[in-house]
Amino acid sequence: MTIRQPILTEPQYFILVALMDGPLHGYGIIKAAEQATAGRLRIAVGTLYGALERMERSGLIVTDREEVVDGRARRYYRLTHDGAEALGREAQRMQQAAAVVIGRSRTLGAAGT
Amino acid sequence: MNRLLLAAYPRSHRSRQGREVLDCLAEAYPGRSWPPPREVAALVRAGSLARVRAAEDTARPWWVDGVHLAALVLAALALVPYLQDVWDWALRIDPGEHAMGFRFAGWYPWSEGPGTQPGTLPYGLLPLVCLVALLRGRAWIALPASAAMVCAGATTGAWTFFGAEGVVGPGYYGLGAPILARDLVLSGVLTAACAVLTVRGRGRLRRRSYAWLVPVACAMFVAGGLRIASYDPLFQRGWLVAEIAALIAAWAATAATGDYRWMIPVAAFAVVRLQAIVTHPMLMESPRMPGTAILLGLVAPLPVLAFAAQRRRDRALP
Repeated sequence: MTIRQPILTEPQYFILVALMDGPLHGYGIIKAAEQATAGRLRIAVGTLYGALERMERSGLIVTDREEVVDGRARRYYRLTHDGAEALGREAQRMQQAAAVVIGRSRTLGAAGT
Repeated sequence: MNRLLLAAYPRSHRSRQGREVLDCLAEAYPGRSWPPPREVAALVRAGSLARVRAAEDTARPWWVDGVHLAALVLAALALVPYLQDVWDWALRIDPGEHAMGFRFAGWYPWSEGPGTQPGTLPYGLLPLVCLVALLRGRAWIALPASAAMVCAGATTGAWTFFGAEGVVGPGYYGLGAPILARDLVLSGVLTAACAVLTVRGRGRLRRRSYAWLVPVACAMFVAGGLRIASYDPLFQRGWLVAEIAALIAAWAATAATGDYRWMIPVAAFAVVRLQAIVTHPMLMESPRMPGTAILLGLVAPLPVLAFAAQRRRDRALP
């Protein structure tokens, strides 16, 4: 029997990616995700905090620390061991899925020439 | 940033995360008090989802919450045709002076005729008591009120303490078929739901805010103050929109959570509507047919949606 692992949504995936380099606060995560996708993905604040809450509840991330900068509340989030594993699994899954298509595209390209 | 942006979130979320969310928005959009529409839509969506999911995070069994919601829906349905009566009764307005639908009939819901003082209570008071009691989680108060609705409906013409108009008159709103007080399905199902909640939900029913009475008061003002009552086509169109919006909300909640609790009020609504259509089939030929078809079309696929959402949820983060 295979154990089903939860599939991450694209914002969840890139939030975890953003946290790979260390703890970040909300706006820091948005900027990091935007950079990682070359501006393609700008996570809305409402989406971000909904995803953070669900991932914190699932144990993929934890609150690292809280601080106030320029009068603004900032909570820093950190990737957990489970979060890193889930991210690695998702990356492998997408790599496998992509490899199938890219491999066939090459064959199709070769056959067409 | 304006705190109104957090209005969709439940209170617990606002107190835990509200400031952080607003500060993040202020950082992302410096100098603005209101973010772009895309952000507003995301906040409303996330807040609504948080609200729906908060309903799951309780010690109550899902079906108790479902029955509670069903009872609230039925009490609201029962109240709608009598909003004007309750308004007139509360403000001591003689319906003979103002009521559009009753003047020609020569008799009135809770008074003997034009110019007289009210003699009995309006039937609409019963579903209103039910609604308020259920909002506050007091099923034991709603139970006798709903039982009185059954009595008033069953003793047509014999017992007029709660106003004969509520029992036999144009206690009506359209969308395919009228729901009259003498049709005991609505009041019977409501009484059964209140009985279940009284026995099984004692002390653990959700207490909703009195703010939920604001839309009730607004509807009462429209029906009684503006005299756009339940038999008015304008009122009926507005109510159709409200029912469609409520069904779409049930769809969205079920799709988001995969939770079956939202199906219980929808099922109760469908039973009452179908009974009215079966009892008054000739009204299906009227121009109201499209409205009924829309409502039934929204109800029918809900079990499939719930099943699909449950399967999808098994594969998503909790």
